[in-house]
Amino acid sequence: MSAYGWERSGSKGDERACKLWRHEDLIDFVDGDLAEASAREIEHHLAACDTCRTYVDSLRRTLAKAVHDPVPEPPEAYWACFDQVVRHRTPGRRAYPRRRWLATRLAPCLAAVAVAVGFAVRYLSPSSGDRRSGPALQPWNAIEIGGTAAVDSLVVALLAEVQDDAMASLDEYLAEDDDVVAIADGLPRSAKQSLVSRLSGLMKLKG
Amino acid sequence: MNDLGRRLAEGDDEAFTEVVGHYAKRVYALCYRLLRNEEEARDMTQEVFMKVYLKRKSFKGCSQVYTWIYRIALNMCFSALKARKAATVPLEEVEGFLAAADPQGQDPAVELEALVARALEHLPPKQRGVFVMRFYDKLAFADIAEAMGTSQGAAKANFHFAVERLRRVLGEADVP
Repeated sequence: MSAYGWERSGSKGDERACKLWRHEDLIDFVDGDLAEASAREIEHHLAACDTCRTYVDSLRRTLAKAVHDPVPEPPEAYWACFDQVVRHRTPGRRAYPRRRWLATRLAPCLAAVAVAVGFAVRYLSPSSGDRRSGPALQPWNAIEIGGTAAVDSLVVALLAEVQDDAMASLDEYLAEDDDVVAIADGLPRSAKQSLVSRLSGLMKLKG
Repeated sequence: MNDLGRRLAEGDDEAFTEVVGHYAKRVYALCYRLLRNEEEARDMTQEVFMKVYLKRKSFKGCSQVYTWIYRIALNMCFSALKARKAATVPLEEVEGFLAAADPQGQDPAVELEALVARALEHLPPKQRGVFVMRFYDKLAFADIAEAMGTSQGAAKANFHFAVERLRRVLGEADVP
């Protein structure tokens, strides 16, 4: 006799004809999550019950097919610097602790650059008078700090480096700094595009 | 609390690196199977570990480290799915879609993978989460329940529903 008896009601809407074992028990049986005694009982029952045997076969076919669900492997660079990127993206953490002292100088440096560029654009550009009615050109528009944490912190770190190197070539810096290249490679595509666009803005500002 | 959990809760950076080494790939696979999008899964895995890093000192050790991380991952993925408004398509529609699919001229292995992906994609999020953790990750129902923040009975019920839905789609599908 079953563990549940004949009175058990079945799940609504299924096609069972055997009232001895519930589908849930047969699923547990196939899943291997049934007490040994109950599993043995079901094995004996299957030899005699076509309905349950058909159902169990169908479950086994299902799970045999479900195995075929491969997970695409991310690029090697994604895992290579995963830990670094996570720490970098985490608010309040800098990926470059050795350069922390630079960050303390970043705000005044950027402010000085902003004032200088703003002054140049407003008073030295020959067409500056034509822009009075439109929005004033701000260097911040070119840098566009304020997006994702990952990109922002990377841009800030790069800016700090560029400032420290007396505005050395950003391209050279990017090419030589393996850490930055690795982190940039590990960024998701959208963040990477954002980084590239911001760096382009920075280069225009420098130019 | 085990040693790794204790060190993580103390804010030990090396412990965090170990946790990443042990669980990042598993979390990525979980995120991928829940979100069914490679790029989103990569972003989500990073975000899960950002949260782990931020919250590591609040890890109390009442659960295992990985069930704690899985819980974070599941909650974030469920929120993402909710935001995506991934409404579950009625099973009849899925069956109709599968029946309409033309099996001719395709690599059977590719066809089978697409079929499985499609069937999993149309499971409701909780059923999908439980099925993935049980079937692919081989987690015990006690751990699944802990990760889901539910009872073992509820976790098993979700597994049963998921298997039954998959059986109705995959069990009868004419794919080798």
